[in-house]
Amino acid sequence: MIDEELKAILVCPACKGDLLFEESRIICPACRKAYPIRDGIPVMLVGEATEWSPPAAQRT
Amino acid sequence: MRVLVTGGAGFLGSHLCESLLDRGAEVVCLDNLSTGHTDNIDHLRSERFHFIKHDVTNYIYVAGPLDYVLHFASPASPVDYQQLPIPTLKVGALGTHKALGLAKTKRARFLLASTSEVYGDPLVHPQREDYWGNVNPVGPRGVYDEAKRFAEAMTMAYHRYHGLDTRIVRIFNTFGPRMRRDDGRAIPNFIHQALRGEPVTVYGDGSQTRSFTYVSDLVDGIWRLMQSAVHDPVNLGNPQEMTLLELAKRIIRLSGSASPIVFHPLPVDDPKIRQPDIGRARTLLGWEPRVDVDEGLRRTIEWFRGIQER
Repeated sequence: MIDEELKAILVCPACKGDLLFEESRIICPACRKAYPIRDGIPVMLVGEATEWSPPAAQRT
Repeated sequence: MRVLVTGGAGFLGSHLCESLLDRGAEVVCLDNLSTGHTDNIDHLRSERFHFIKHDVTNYIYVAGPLDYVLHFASPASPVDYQQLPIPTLKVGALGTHKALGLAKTKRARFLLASTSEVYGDPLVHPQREDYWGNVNPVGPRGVYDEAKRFAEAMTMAYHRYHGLDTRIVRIFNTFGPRMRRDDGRAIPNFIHQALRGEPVTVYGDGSQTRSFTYVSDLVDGIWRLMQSAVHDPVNLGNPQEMTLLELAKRIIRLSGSASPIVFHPLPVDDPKIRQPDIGRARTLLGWEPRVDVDEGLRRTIEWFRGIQER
């Protein structure tokens, strides 16, 4: 969905952290936010991000 | 050449992105779409064009080199900035700061899209770049005028203090395809009303004057300024001045409309006269507007006709 070059450009606008890319959203594990991807456009707006929790298996 | 354009999904920004892509550049386009729209850039999508929905008043990060940072993000029509007064001030102040910081980090050349509104309701006519302006800071238009004045001051401070390679363009009224029909400005208003056969609304008695530049001329001037070594502000506009009443009549004629003209009260602090002195652009950039206003209006009317039929 998001090309490699665009992935390299992006960081979390809130904490400047590295991101994880999924099919329909972009996750900042550091500040636990999920940014939507709409029509192939990464929406890097803190106001439009949703809360994200790590999958249960990764919790200790 | 790799270029970042803030506000790249807006009217001017999208034309600028398009012209940069035509020149072979790779373009990173940022826009929060508060007044811009993806309709303006959908046709630009390619491997050399990257669009990110981003609010440039927040931290901007871009990996890899950048040759130019072009700061075009801002609500720009009176209707928009009166609806978005605080975002307008923020993008002029915080957004300009972030964009300058990015240019500094990347050692990129920075260009600020400023405005003829820095002259306010001018007391000298036509306006040369060395005129300091007549702006009401607390009036309804102050949010835009002062944001841009602050942005110019910040840009010059980065130039003087950090040695950043900067350019400032003072853009006079510009028109063309992709203006929003509802942005409240005279040309899209008049065209929209004329095409629908509705009365064309002129504010005041229509004797206030403006000068209108066709967008392709403006983009050409911006390119020339980017390539120049001019750090001081440069006016870009068409010195061919006309009254708004004359403009309304021309649009009615060129669109083959039978709309009548009606008069409404003039808004507060509306500048009465506005005309660029483009001596500096002529001398230093060899720039001159080439598209005749009627020709530009014809192209714009055709475009509005097209979206109206959609």
